[in-house]
Amino acid sequence: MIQKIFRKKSSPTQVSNDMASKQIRYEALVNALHADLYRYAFWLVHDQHIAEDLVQETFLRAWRALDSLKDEKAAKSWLITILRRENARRFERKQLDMSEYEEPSIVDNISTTTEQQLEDHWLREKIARLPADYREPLVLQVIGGFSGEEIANMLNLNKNTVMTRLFRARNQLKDAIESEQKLKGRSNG
Amino acid sequence: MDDLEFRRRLYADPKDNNSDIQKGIDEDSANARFYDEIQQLDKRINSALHVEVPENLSNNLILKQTLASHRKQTTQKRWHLAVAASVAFFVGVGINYFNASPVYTSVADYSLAHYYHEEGKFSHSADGSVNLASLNDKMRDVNANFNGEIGNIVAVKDCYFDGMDSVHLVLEGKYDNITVFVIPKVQHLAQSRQFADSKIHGLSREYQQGEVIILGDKREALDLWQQKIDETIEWSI
Repeated sequence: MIQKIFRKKSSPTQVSNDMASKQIRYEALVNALHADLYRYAFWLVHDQHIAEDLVQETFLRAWRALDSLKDEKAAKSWLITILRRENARRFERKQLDMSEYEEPSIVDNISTTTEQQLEDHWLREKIARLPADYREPLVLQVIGGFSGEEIANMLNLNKNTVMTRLFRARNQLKDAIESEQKLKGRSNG
Repeated sequence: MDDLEFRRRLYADPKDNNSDIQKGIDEDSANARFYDEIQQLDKRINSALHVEVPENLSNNLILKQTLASHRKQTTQKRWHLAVAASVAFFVGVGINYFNASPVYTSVADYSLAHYYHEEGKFSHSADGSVNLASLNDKMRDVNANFNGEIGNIVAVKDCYFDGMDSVHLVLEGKYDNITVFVIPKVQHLAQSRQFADSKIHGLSREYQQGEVIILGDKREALDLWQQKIDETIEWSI
């Protein structure tokens, strides 16, 4: 009788099965979303290492709370929410200044750089100079693939505000590109 | 939709493919040109935002989690063991306390309760299986022995007299069995020389090292029994 109760409660194979399926879910989540999450973190903090740490911490928290994630479709915004909270915590821990935009090792071997990479490099600096309020919705839209409404929910803003910021972000980047082309044109001509 | 609105909408979301955007493109070549420009811009932005992801990041994430959950499991196991151990400890202490804690406040109450608890469990005549030697063997538990016959012994057994190692004697009486408890010195129970209820009565006598309580039917002459025991009992240290 007692044996029966114990067996019913948690047979070791059952437990390890649960663990294994959780592990599989976790690994799928990591493989599918780590890149987007890293890029989001990078544009949030402008530092490769801090971004990596943030992603690590986010996934560890995600593992602990994995059972609460019912809708796999919502996984990306769930992870981003965790990451934003982690980042806020980082600021609480010590009063960090947002680090200056640097791009170490991303374009480290100039010799093999293509024109595309040079172009990216140039534009990254401009994106980094955008106000954070404009940049964040842009990153969520382009990398995260979220709609204006979803971004509004994640950032606790109303949709019109988000759309205005997205408009301004692109507008400023377009202006920057156009004035650069004008400058180039002048020095060339 | 005017040009300004058209532009605003596409700046905010180049992938906006509502029918009115499509209509704007079809109806106005300037709009169409702007649409292409914005797609071009967004392609550049998209490329720039997609910074390189550190190599092995996903492997590191899985590794870190595996290590962390392994560590958690082992500490959890230790924690479970600690909880189990302390639960077992308190159950042990609790049982001991429960068994040993005095429920009755006087020797008389306890004796009566014990008497009624065992009432009817003994036969009314001695079958000769208990002799003086086997009686004295038991009596060693309470550091006492009898130097002579005290009567016909129906039964002798060790008992816990309110948590104390004691000897429970059942003797053949005239009307019913006589019950004798030989117990160690009592501190926590109130003493009484004589006690009785509606059916039985009892006597107790205190010695230096212990106490003898005699219970029996009201008609029994317990004082004679007491006298007999008093004469034959010998206490050792």
